[in-house]
Amino acid sequence: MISTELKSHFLRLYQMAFSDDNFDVLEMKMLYHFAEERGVTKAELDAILLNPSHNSMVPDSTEEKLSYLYDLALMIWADHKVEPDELTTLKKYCLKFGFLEDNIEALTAFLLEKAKENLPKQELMNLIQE
Amino acid sequence: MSPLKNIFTVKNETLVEEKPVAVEDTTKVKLTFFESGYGSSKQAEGNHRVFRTCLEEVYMDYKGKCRENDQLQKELKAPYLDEKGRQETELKKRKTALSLLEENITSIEEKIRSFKNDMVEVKRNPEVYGLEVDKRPKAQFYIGLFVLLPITLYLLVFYISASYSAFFKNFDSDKLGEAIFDAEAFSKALADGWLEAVFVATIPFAFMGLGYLIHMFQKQKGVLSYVKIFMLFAITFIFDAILAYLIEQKLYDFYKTPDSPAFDLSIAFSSVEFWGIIFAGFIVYIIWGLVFDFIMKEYENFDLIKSFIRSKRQEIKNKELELLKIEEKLPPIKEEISGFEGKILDLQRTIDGFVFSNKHYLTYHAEYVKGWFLAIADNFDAIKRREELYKSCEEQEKLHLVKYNIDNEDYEGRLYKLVN
Repeated sequence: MISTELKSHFLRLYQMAFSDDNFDVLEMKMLYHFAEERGVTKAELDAILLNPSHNSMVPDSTEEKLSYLYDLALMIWADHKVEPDELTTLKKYCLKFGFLEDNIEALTAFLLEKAKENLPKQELMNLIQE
Repeated sequence: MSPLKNIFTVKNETLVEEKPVAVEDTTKVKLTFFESGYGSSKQAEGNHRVFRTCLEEVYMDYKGKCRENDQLQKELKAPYLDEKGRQETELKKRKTALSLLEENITSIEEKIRSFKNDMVEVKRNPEVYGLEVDKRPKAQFYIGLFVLLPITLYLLVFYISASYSAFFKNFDSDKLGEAIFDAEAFSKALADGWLEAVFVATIPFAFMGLGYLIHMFQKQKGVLSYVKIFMLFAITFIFDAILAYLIEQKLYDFYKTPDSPAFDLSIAFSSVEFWGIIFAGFIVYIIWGLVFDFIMKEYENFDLIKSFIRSKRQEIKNKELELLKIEEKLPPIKEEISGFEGKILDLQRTIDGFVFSNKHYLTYHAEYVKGWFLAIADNFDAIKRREELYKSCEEQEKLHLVKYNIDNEDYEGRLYKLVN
């Protein structure tokens, strides 16, 4: 079951992608269906599509950035499989959040691996700070 | 740094401080404009015609400098660039919404097509749709109906006659042959009174009602429904037996001699007529019930296809309504999209063109005018001549400001858009 925090993180990420040239309309459509299948309501998604944007800035701290990305990874694993489109999206968000391009593969692999294990976020944060 | 920690490294976002571009010293520029105004005024002796040409020249000169000043253009264009970004975000959102709606429409149209296809196909291959239907339900239904109608007629006649004989008939010697079946039962009952006629005419329907109940109970699964069916058969049998007993008793009473024993059940059971009445009624009643049950099942069989088609038709109707609702959402979104595209194009033209800053220009313009007027004050002692020059030059200045639409102080900047 997708928690409210996960959903709200996703909605913010979704909002962010609209102002990013790296995400095209087809990708935004894919993300819409992705969220819909995971329990984000049509009303919540349509509110983003049909209302003027609020400023959705990229989170400042690395911890917060990783928290968002980890939530996305958890949502990706919600259907017990990772589609290539979903992996691409996660990578794009990593880039958008300013992580080094050379580390993107390793970072996405790490996040997805931990999401697959369903590691609690706090433990993930501890792991990062070790 | 551990390899794990290494992957969390974020790009160094500290923006390279843009080197301050050598911005012209405003005071120096202002002074240059002042001096230029003063010098030109002195040379032209404050002539208002020359003043007009000079102002034109200053304006054109500043316009050229403004266009070439990249730093200033960047600053002036920043709000337009931000606005363009916002409009592009909104445009992408609406395009996504439009695309989702169009996708939805395609899928609904596909469903409607598939429902229509199902409506045609179900008649050919009902089993594909999970309907266990006999291939020729209609023929069997009509054969059953053909058999049921005469049996119903028989039951009507038999029970009218039997109930009349049992409850109302007076046996006399001439009509003993009609003890069980009386061809004139209904007309006789009618002659005796309309209530009697209604009684004998409706009794057969009570039997048919029992037959109908048996069919309905058969539909329900479970022991209880079987118990109910058994009870219904038992009640019908008992009722038939009562009719037969009453008729048989009347016959017995007619034939009895003074030493005959009183009529009782054992006498009734040993009588052929008693059993004849029961079988002529009860067995035919069972046959009626079975045929009725059979044709009802056949009817439901071809009703299954009909109800399948009916439900598909309803689903199509619902989908068409859904489609209509979605299609209603399209025009406003399309309108918004063209609105955003128009705004973006307009903003792009501004960005590709250049922004003329009225505010900046007016600062330098004022300096120039100040220089010009001061030269008049320095070079003309005659107050009248001085006033004349001031007046005519002020008029020229006003005309110049109006001409370039910069007489309004609220006006921040003039946009020179790129025109293809």
